[in-house]
Amino acid sequence: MNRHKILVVDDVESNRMILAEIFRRDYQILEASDVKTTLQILEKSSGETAAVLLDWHLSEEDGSRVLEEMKQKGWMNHIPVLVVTAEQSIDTEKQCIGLGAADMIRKPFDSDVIRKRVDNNISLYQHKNHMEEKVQEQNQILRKQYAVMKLQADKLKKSSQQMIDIVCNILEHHYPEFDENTQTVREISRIIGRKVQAHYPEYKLTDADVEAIAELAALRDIGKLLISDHVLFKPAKLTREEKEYMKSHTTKGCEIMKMMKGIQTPDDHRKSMEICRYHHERYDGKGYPEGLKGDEIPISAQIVSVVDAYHALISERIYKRAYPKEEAYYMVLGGECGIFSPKIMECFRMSRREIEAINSEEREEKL
Amino acid sequence: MNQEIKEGLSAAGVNMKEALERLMNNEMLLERLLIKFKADKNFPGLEKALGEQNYEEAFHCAHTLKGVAGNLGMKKLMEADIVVVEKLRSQNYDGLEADMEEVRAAYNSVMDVIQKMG
Repeated sequence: MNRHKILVVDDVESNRMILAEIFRRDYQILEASDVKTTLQILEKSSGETAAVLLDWHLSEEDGSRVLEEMKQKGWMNHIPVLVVTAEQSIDTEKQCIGLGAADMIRKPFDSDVIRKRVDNNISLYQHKNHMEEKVQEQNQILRKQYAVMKLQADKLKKSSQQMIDIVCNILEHHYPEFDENTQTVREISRIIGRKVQAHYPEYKLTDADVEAIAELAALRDIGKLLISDHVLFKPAKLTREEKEYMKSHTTKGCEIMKMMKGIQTPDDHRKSMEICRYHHERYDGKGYPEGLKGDEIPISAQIVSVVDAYHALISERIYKRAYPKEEAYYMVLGGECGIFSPKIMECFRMSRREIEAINSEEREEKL
Repeated sequence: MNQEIKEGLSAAGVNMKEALERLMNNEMLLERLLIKFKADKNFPGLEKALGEQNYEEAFHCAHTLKGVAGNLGMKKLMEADIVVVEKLRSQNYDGLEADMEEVRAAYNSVMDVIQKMG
């Protein structure tokens, strides 16, 4: 923006003429004799004005309204106002500077001094204006880049979600054990996750965390793809060796998830690994594969493990019938299918109505 | 401006050098401004306002006169006027008439010269 004009405000014409004479070689001079005209000129030419020289005692009022209006309209950030006055009192100076005047020049002034001071202020403000423009440009560039990155992150997130959905679909189709698994498990995980988020801020769960845990909960048993069918579908009690072998679906799940690393966001990948590996850990340290204790178990896995226990109860398995949800609820609370943290149990208790509601809705849909 | 006028102005308490410097040594402009000063209403306004004891208006006139006189290098007039300005500002009207007499004398001596200019 080219600021090449100086606005001289004074109610006495000869005063304006003197200032005009001093500055007319370097600037185009605009003149005003009262506040109203001053504001009208600025309304039109604020973008081209390099400085305002403001006489303080105008005939109708003092210059304070000019300063106030200029501040309010944002012009003062870009245009230095130098108050020119015959006033010697320090109070007026305080008032002017307090209202945002850049400098104060006393009449009678020396022409060299006033030129120098006006020039100094103008170059200071022009430098400032220039920096502000630069910062704005940079901000715009950053915002654009951020938008591009966000778009890419969203794309990655979406495609990894699609991938996970495909994997879950395959699981559901090939293994009766996974039937009806995906959506129900996600729903229950979401409900309990939200309770943890709301009631236990120490886990620092965000909305996005809860969503991701719910999404990824369906992958907890993906390691079972690497378990032989004759063990997985054995219609009888497993031997001790077979049981141990079965437990390896947690670590095998991590092996599969490692292959998916490139298509997940780093955060989702970490959660997937936690869920696959630790969803059979127990709060008392007697779970597997690591025997982690208490909050050594990541919160994602703690949430998914209670969901897993409950969901196993309400589902029909090759070796067992499906328990009614009320019975399943009390079995989980009674510690019959795992030991969970008191906090998780509290969240499970608070979630009972919501969990039972989604199950019955789904059943209605099936009918 | 001829030499006689310049000397007259100096004698009337006008600092010609300073006034010219302020106007980037534009003598024509100084001449125009001095002639304009004839029509300046602040001195008569000051007299009138004091006559009516309108001290607020008197202050405004005296204050503006101080600025104009200062800018035109009228040192003697400005200094006499400053006394009046400060008395009016502090609302101390003791001896104001005597102070005004000083202002009047300075004003008249400047005006006597300017009347000859054109």
